[in-house]
Amino acid sequence: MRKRFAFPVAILGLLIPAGVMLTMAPQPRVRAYDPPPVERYLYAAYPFSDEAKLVLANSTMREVTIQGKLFSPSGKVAFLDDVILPAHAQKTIDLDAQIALEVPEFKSAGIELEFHSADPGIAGQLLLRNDSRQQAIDVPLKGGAAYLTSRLEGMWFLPAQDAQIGAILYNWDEVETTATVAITRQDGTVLRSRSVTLGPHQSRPFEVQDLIRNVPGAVGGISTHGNTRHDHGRGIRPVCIAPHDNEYSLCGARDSLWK
Amino acid sequence: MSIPFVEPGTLYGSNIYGAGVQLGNTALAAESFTGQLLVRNISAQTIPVTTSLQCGEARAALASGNLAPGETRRLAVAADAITCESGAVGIEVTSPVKGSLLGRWLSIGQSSGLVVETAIHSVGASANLSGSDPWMIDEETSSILYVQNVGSAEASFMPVIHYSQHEGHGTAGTHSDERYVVGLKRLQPGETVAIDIRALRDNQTPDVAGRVLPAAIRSGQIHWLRRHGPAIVANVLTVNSTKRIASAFSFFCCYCSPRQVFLSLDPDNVEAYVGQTVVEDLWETLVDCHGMPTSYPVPPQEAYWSTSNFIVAPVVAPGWVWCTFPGNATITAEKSVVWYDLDYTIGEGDPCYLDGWCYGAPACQSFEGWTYASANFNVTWPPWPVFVNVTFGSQTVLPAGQTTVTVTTFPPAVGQAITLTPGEVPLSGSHNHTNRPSNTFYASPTGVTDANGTFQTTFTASNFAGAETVTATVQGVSGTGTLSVAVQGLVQLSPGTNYNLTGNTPWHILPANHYGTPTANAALVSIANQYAAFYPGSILLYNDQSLPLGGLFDIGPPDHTFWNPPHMEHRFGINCDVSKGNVPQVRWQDLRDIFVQFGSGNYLEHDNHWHLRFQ
Repeated sequence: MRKRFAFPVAILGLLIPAGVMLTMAPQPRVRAYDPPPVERYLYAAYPFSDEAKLVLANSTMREVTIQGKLFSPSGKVAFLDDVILPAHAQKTIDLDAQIALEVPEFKSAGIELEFHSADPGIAGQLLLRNDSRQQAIDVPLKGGAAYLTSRLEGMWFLPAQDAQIGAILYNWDEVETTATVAITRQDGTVLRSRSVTLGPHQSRPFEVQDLIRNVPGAVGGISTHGNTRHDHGRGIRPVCIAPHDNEYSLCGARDSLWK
Repeated sequence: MSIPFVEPGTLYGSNIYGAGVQLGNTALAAESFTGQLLVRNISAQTIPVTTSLQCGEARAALASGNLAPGETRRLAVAADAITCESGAVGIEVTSPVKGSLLGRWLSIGQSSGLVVETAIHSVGASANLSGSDPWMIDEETSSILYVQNVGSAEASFMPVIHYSQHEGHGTAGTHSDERYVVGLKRLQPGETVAIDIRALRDNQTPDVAGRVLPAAIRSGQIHWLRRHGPAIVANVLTVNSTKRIASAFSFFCCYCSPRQVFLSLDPDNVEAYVGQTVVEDLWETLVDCHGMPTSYPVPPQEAYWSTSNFIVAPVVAPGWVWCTFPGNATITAEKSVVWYDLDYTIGEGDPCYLDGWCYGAPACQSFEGWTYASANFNVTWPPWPVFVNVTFGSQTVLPAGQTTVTVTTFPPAVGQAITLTPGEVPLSGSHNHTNRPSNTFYASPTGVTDANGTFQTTFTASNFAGAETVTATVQGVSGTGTLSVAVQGLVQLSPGTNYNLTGNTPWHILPANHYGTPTANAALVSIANQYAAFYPGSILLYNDQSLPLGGLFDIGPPDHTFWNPPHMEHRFGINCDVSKGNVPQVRWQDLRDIFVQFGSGNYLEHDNHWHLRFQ
């Protein structure tokens, strides 16, 4: 407790009327948001990179244990070490170190994180690095249920003629999913549209490089659309990359926001 | 670097915003940046689009035009597109159609090719968002949080830096959860602010509680907690300037905050003495969606202040409490606040709702009310006096006269050392010059108060009339008494037909030098009249009598000095100098006889004047 004093001589000049006492209206007690702990999941897919790190952040008031799995394009599963994340802590996990023996298989993979918490305040982001090429790709992880509609919309950008752009499509769901992926030109017309079917946790490269290799600085759109109402297109997770030297790289999927 | 894939259904705003675009030289890296803005219209209609940058109140318009359905546009932005000393630039892209725009900003280092991306957010103007993002700083890496107000009114938020301190040894140790509360930040519409974590650490800038970030910390999280106003969006940009790579974090992890708002007063239990003024600090506590409370000081003017006892402890100004009388009082600060909660009626049965706020679009319901904090005051008499009073045995004393000085203390300060200091009131006693001699004390001017908290000594006034003071100091508390040193009853000699008044000087406040007792004044009039009766048409010249209050009558420069004779007498109104200059010598004896006749038998004969003495 701190106490600061001034002597009367200092306050005599401050003899101004005190604030008006208004009718007390105590703050009603807010109903606590206290749902029971449930299993929660975060997903992402990542393309080939020299270095893959996973940043995890816990903004809840409690310690949370996070279990992780990697799914290779061929369907192989690798289990990550459990991560104990204290309240308000963040940790950076070296994925390469954890899958050192199986690097070739999991250089491109889908990732699933599972944790048990009432508060969903766990966030994660993949930091994919290629130091020799000065490339940095950030892929935020996202809860599967975040996909409420059957569409995902993105953009592509070709900063230089020799830049490469690719996509990784990943089905985070436990059931087979089909979606249509469309690449559009700058003016919005469709350049190519293709139907893609992925098994549970399957990931697959989607080459768009040949389609958009033309003018440096060109831009366009990329969309996925679920083929059935049930799918809602939410299993397909596109990731764009451009791993060429000294050029820009693009990829990603972002969290949704709230209205 | 990434370009976002977004569900159109989660684009809740018609405009899109990006906080912390890098242009020109910024704090993030030691080079200049240009920008690339990518925008795509994902709606089914052609939309007009405008783009602008904002720094503080400055706004720079960029290109605008129509975007066809599905069209993507790239806009190259020059390093000097906006001048921004703070380095905190935000971008706004407007559209009339909700959910129509995707956007991405890429900042390109002009020398290294370093690319720093900035997430572009589509949020409703009233969205209630807070977040928490990782930060990392080391020799090569810096992290800066950028927060942008996307609404049309003032917004405020609270940045809180979390970090861990390892306690114990090795793996057996534990990590503590430490917090650094930056302090309330206010954002004008469109404004972006930057929180440079490295700068806060390296400069050892104290937080609201005086804490500093340890020099050894390297990573943690930074929370940005919305407090009031329209929507804010944020990005944490992390750059490794050696590897020339950057990461952008933008986790909106906390929806609908603050959940509760509390006030507190510091101090909340006060033991104070009468006479003291206590300054209360008003603290506000926000509770975020996770239940985490964060406290910070707010201006006391934001609350209404009241007291339960105006006699004991009145509130004299917001946060200022004056302790005026022994007793107890409760000081209350009351403030109107707004808080939020998830709307449980919307989304009932929705799996997204049941799974938590992350997975849907639950409504955020606002509540308004009053919250208050109290502080208990226990006011007692202090061990030192509140008041020191100085009185005199006689309120008026003659020059060089004596009287008693009595010092009383309230409440009685028993056995306390006391010091008396003499003083004077400048320019009093008609002396129009300074540095007058002080009075003195017959006994010592220091001593100890008795069992009643009083002290008494004898005061000796100076030779000069005027107002004199005695200041008593006990335990640092002082009181001053003033008394008059004067010869009472002196009156001014009025001008007369048969005499002239001479001798005024600038060293006295005029008229000053013809004051006398009524007896002496009457005698002087009679002397002049009698002399004129003997020698019709003759007048006498009356020089100095006494000053209005008497006392030593000094004559200053050029012939003499201040505060000293030559007027040895002239102190009590019974003397007057009569000039010989206009009196022929043959009349001197007649005039001497008149002096004797009218009461000045023991006059003094000087070369140029007679010094009269009356009773």
